[in-house]
Amino acid sequence: MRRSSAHPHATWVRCRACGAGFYPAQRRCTACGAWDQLDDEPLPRAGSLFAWTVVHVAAADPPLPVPYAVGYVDLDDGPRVLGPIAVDGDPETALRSGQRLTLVPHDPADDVPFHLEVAA
Amino acid sequence: MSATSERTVAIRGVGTTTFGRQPGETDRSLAERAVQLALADADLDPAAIDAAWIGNVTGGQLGGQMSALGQLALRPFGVGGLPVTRLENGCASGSVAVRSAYLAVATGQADVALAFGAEHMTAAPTPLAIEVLAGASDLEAEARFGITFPGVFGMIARRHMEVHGTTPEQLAAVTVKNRANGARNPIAQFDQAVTVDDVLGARRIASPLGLLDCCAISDGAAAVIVVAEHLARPGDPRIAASAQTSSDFEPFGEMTGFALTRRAAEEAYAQAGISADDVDLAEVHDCFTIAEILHTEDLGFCEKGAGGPFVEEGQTARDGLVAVNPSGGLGARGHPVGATGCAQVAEAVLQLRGDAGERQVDGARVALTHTLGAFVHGAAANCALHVLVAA
Repeated sequence: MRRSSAHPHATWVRCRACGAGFYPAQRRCTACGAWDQLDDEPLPRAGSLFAWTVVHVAAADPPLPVPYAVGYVDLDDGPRVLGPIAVDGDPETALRSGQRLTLVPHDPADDVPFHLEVAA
Repeated sequence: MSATSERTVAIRGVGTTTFGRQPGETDRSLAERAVQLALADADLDPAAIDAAWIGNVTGGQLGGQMSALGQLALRPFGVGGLPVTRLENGCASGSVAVRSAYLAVATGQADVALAFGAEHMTAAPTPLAIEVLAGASDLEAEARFGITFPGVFGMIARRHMEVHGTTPEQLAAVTVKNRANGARNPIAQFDQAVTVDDVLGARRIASPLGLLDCCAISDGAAAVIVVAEHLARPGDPRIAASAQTSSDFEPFGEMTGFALTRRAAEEAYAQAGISADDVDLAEVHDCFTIAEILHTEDLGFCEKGAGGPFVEEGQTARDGLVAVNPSGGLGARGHPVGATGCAQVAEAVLQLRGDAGERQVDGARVALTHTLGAFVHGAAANCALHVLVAA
């Protein structure tokens, strides 16, 4: 895995002054202009699938077995985040836009901070 | 931003190497060939070049030659001592090189400025090339999850289909048109016509996109010699507008188009004093079929959402309302990423001079070039747009 900075794990930031939230994290609140008012919060654990694809030809790194699904999920009262989507069976037929997904945080030592899966 | 052109700027010469797999070549050797072609086309002493910018994206990771690529590619012509910059803005690198040359001449910093771009990508295993290109997204929030560029545009294609009813056949129509154009372009990577069924039946790359929805890994270089008006020859096209935008990181809304293209087009049309209706031909960034469809919308050639029927009805064909990618575009000419922006401008120049041979757009007077580079948080990160007008 290529080097990436030590961003807090599966979090976004929310402004104490105005309540606006940002993902990925920001240095200041660009909604109200406040500095030093952003707190880390865990990403919401549920959301709806906004856009998705099934990748059949992968990059050398990360070395994922194909095919695999990736998509943007609109988290409830939270941001739109991209993540890998774990599905049983053929991902081409298992997913549909608007579907409810669950965000599953990973151990901080993992290469990725979370994945998504179809809500039970 | 207001127009920056204090001096009228023209393009005196262009050169484009063959695009496509070229074993034995390198970024540097391809760049040298493009410079030689452009110098010959311009009929200009190499010593006249005052400044140069070279677009190159993957050289550091694939070929290994970084930092002095431009200087090394100019040395065989006895050109040295001038400011030379290697420029990396993702797939927009070549067109930002053109913009840099334009600004240098427009502001009087140079009378002759060279913009060139080169990329040799096919020597690398495809998965490595995909990984390096995915570095043009947000490594921390995107690439680490395995999203590839075909994957990005696969998501956009599905959105466009869901929101606007665009069909797989309409996506395929882009490839059919561009391959037909490429068949008339001697430097194109792909010169074989394909059918809608060929496109629909190709193996999947990132759903709903298949192999023939995607531009290919390629090798090639292109060069553009930009000059002040007093050095232009009677037939040399003028640069009427040059605009560059980046992502504003606003929430990415419907994900069916690119706001930065709309902003760049608005600025460029204002600089040139034209509207979208005035454009005779456009070389746009069709890295994937869906990309060309949404660019035709964002550039104002048709309404948002109407891009699918627009291409299917032939409105973007060489003899259509606006000829889109008469060169074959990225899909058929090829996409050696750092070279693409210069190759687009080179095509526009040939068309405006009436030198485009079998693919000539009749009566071409106004040409637009549009390049995107990098993708972050649902939107492209770089956009460079030029308007060229016939002399």
